[in-house]
Amino acid sequence: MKIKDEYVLQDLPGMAVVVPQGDEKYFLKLNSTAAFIWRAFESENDPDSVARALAAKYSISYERALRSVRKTVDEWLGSGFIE
Amino acid sequence: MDFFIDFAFFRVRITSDDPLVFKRCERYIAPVSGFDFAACSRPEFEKEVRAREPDFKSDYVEFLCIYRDIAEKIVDYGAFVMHGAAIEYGGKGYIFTGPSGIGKTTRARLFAGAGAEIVNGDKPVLRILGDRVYVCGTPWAGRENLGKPLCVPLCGIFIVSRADGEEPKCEPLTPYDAFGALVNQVYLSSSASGKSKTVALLGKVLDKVGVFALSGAPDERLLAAAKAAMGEV
Repeated sequence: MKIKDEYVLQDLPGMAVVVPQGDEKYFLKLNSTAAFIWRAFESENDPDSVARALAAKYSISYERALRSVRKTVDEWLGSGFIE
Repeated sequence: MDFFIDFAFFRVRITSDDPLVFKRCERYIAPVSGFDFAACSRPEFEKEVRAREPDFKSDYVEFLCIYRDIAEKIVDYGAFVMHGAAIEYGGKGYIFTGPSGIGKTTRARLFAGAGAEIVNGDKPVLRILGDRVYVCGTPWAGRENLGKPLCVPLCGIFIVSRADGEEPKCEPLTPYDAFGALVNQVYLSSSASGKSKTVALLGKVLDKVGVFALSGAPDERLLAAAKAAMGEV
């Protein structure tokens, strides 16, 4: 599971935005949690590892973090941001 | 032939033999001297414009293509083009933006009736210099050619929607909420690096300038609602 090369996360004041590198004109805005998950998947392809990192970052339970990661991944898979 | 124009604190060398291009640029003509960059039409731009606007005359197509070349280049100088109608009101700049046909120019004209100057009726340039954002007139001011060679500090962006018949509303938006609507109204380079630079510049603008959702018919009540928001920015 990895983020497609044609999408790059860009930090802006108060938000992060996924910028398509090709002709596509859809820009995905991410809140801080989603941006953390995106960055984690840039170097990691295992949802369990990302959930552990998310749990540590936000001091939440592993189970809650895993639910959040799975929900986010499902959305991004559906939208074609990851493969 | 080559000639030079000043706008948005740029000096640009234009190459064109088209009389319409020179005529539209007349109010912006600068003395011949050093320039920031050169601009001209390009066959690949013309092909795209002709495909999108088959009824446009060739001289107007060339005029538009020169702006496309400029739009590609100005991101390297902290500037970009936004689709909208810009006004100067009380020494401050404001932009009405939104989808085509929504009534941006109508809102700008409403303010012109209240003493505002129209800076650009179609595609003003926004330029970040130091801590300030400026909205600037350019020769590319739409088919009606509404605009002036002015640069004023940008103090507010209004995203226009119709909702005619309802009470006029002017509500502040967070940068997060405003981004989605505004990114569709800025010129985005075809290159990945140009696109990324423009997105970064838009982020800076949203960090410095208030954005409002403005809805309602263009009447006195709308004018009052927008003016009240202007007092807050």
